[in-house]
Amino acid sequence: MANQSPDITKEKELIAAYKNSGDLTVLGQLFQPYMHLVYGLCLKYLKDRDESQDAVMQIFEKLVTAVKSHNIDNFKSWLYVLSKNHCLMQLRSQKYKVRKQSEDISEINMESELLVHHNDEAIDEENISKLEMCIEKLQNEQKTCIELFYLEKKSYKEVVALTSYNLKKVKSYIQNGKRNLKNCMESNSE
Amino acid sequence: MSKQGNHITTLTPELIEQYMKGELSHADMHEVEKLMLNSDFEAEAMEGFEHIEPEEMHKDLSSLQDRILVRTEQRSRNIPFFLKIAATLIILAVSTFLVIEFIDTPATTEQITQAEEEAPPQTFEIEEEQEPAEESPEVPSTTSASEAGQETKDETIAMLESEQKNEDVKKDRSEVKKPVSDAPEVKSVEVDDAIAEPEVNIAMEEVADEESLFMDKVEEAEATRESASRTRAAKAKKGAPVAAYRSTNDNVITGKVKSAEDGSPLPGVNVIVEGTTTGTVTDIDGSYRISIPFDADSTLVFSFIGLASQSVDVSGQSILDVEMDAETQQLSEVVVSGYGVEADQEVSDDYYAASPAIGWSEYRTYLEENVNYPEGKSDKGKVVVKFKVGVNGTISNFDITKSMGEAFDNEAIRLIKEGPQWSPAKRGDLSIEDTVRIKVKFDPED
Repeated sequence: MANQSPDITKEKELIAAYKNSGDLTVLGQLFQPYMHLVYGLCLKYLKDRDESQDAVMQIFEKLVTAVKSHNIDNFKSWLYVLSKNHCLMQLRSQKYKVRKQSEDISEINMESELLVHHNDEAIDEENISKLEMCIEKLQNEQKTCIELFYLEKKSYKEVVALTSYNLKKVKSYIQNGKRNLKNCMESNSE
Repeated sequence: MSKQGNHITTLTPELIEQYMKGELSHADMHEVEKLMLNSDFEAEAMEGFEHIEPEEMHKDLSSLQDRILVRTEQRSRNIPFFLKIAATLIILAVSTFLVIEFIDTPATTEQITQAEEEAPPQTFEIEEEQEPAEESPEVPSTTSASEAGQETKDETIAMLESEQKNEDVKKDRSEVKKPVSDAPEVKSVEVDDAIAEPEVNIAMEEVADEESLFMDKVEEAEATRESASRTRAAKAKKGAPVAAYRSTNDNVITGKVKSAEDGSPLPGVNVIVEGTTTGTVTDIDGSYRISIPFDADSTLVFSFIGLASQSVDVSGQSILDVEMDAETQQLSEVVVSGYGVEADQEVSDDYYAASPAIGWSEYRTYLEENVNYPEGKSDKGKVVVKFKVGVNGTISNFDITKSMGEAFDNEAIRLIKEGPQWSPAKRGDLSIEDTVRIKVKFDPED
């Protein structure tokens, strides 16, 4: 049960029901499955536990009006963007500098601050030949990491152990590699 | 935790905890990592949790759940909101109403309180009138004014304040002067002519007050009784102190107040002993008579709305005539608003309203002389123009508060725009922006 992917249709029903009734318990049901993600996100930016908890409540308050007035396609990504923006605004008003993670920024989809399309895209693992070709084209480190992670299904820890790259680098290679592969795949299909 | 098949499809708090504690198998870890790669949301959340202990995460999440639960159980959010607005509006309306009431009818209040306040404020006795015998509070207050002793008391106590309702004597309006509000007005009404005569005839036509007129009549009806009982009450309160005054050798001043401009008598002028609440009002001939308490400063303050107040030292004198000039700030031409500014100077320290550089008097003259009547019109009336005087004296933001139609309004604005310069308002030494209202009169006969 715990690991079922969110039932998109059920969510849409909840959203519609809330729009109609304004019933907060419905909104609560909508929000509940993602509450921990929102909290974690706030923790990442705000660092402070109490502040983050308050932020979660503030974000919920925002939902009360925002869900009614927006057209939401994918609740999870919409909530993600909303929460992240809230945290960033908060930081801005506190005049903190946002620590940029060493992660590849492309991982963060900054296309628009508003509604974002669902950006979960799994690599098309069926197009294997294309993929193999693209992998060959990758830089060594990226290639290594990608292969270890995706093809051999290793965890980060294992990859680190096997390559002696440090964790951050491993993550970085994998993300950059992934992006390059995507570009490569897309350009190939053109 | 339980999985469906081999795939972990969402990141639950339990998974997060396990991942952080390293309790997952490599395969599972891989799955989690893959998930995070695919979803920024999960990735960032995980990053956030890396900074806290799993126990803390547990605690925080359950506390959050409780808070959400509490929040979602608060129903009817929109309705109270609406009610709040409604309530706020009602309160505003009521307070505005009350404010207006207070501003408009302080007179009434005063009048009414006069009856009650007879005693507390210091009253004043006229020695001549005294008949010491009458002190005792036991004097029966029956109504009839004919008890001379009683009358005297009444009189003395009542007297001097702003008014006197005297049914035998010509009763005119009781003048209710705000400035003299501390002087207890009163009524002592029934007074024998003989005794009353030397008293003040108060006939202030100037500040005729409907209320007082009405009260006069009422007084007539039951005046004696009331005043008598009031006086009694007053006396009861005063008791000895009254006697004390009586026996003191107060300084009695008399005199006449005239206008400096034409020498005509000024009735209704307040005459107060500085530093006390003892005062009187000039009668129809402009005459007054006042006793200065023994232990008070012998300075009299003469004041009247529209005229410049005067303080005069009277030590050693017993007759003092005064001439009063018009006040340079013409309140009649400046409408005082509740929050604006204007010629009202009694507010806080060191505040000076904006004024024409050439002075109000000259400015008025300018307005009167330069009015250009709109073509073909001969209406009589006034236009009130409100505008801002900036810190440099520049004027802007013209707004018509009282209109006589476009033609007149425009002429009024033109007059002001093309008119003399303005000096900005000041607070202490600092120039500040201010709002001014000017009443422009249109009178075809001017």
